[in-house]
Amino acid sequence: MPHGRGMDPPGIDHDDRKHTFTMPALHFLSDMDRVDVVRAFVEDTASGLVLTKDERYHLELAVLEAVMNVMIHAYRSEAGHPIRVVIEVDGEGYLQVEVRDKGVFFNILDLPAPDLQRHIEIQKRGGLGVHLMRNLMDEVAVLQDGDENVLRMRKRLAIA
Amino acid sequence: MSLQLEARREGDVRVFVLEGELDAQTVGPFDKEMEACLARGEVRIVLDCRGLAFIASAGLGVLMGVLGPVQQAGGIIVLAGVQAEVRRTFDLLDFSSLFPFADSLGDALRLAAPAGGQG
Repeated sequence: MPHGRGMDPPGIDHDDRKHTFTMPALHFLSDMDRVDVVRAFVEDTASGLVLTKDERYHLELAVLEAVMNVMIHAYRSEAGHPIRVVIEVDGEGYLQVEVRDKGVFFNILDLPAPDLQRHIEIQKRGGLGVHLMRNLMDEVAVLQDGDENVLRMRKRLAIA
Repeated sequence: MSLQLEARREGDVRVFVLEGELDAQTVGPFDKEMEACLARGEVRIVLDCRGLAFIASAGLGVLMGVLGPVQQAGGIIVLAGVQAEVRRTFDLLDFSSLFPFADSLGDALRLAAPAGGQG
C-alpha cells in the first residue's frame, strides 16, 4: 500500500480490560508531507464510533499533533520510520489513542506550558503541539514498551 | 485535504482568504505569503477564515511567529468568521487573547483599517 500504510482488522481486545473495542490500527512510515494519511485514518475510525462533533475534531487534532511530534522529535524529521496509531474505546467510556514509534524517546510531559508572550518576542513557531494535546485530552502519558515509545492519550466520552 | 489560499488588497488592508485545512502539510504557502507580506511592510492583515475547517499547531505557530513583527510595526492581524471548532483550538492555547476576532469580513476590515481610513 502507498507510504507503508496498513491496517489491522477490527476486533475485541481480550486483555484485562473488559469490553474494549479496538479499531483497525494504522501502520505507516514517517513522512512530513503525508499527514493526510493520518487524518484520513482518524476520520475513517471516528465514523465508526459514537462521537460528538467536538470529540471527533479533538481526536483528529490530538492524533495529528502526536504524529507530528513523533516525526519531528523521535525521528528528527527523517522519512521512512515506522509509526503505529491505535484507537480504542474501553469499557469505562474512555476513548484511548496510542501512537507508537521506535525513535528517540522523549518525555513530552517534562515540557512546561509555552510562554506565549516570550514565543512572540523571539518569533518562535514551534512548541504548541504538545500543549495542544495536553489540553485536548483528559490524560496524556508516555511510556516505553519493549523497543517502542508509546504516547497514550485518553478522553472521557460524552456518550459512554 | 488541502488549503486554498487567495490574497487581495482592500484599501490599506491585506486580506487572505483561507479555505480548507491548515496543518503541517499545507502550511508552507501560507507561511511564505505571510512572510512576504511583512517584507513588503503590509502589516494590516485580515484572515478570512469562514472556509477554514481545521487548524493544527503548525498553522497557529505561523500566526504566533509573525505577530511580534506585525505588532512592532504598528499593525494588526484580525481573524474573520472563524468556525466554532477552529475557534475552540485558539481558545485552548489562549490565542484568543492575542488576536481580535470579527464575526464578519466587513467588521474585520473596519478593525484592521488605519484610524481615519476606510470604514
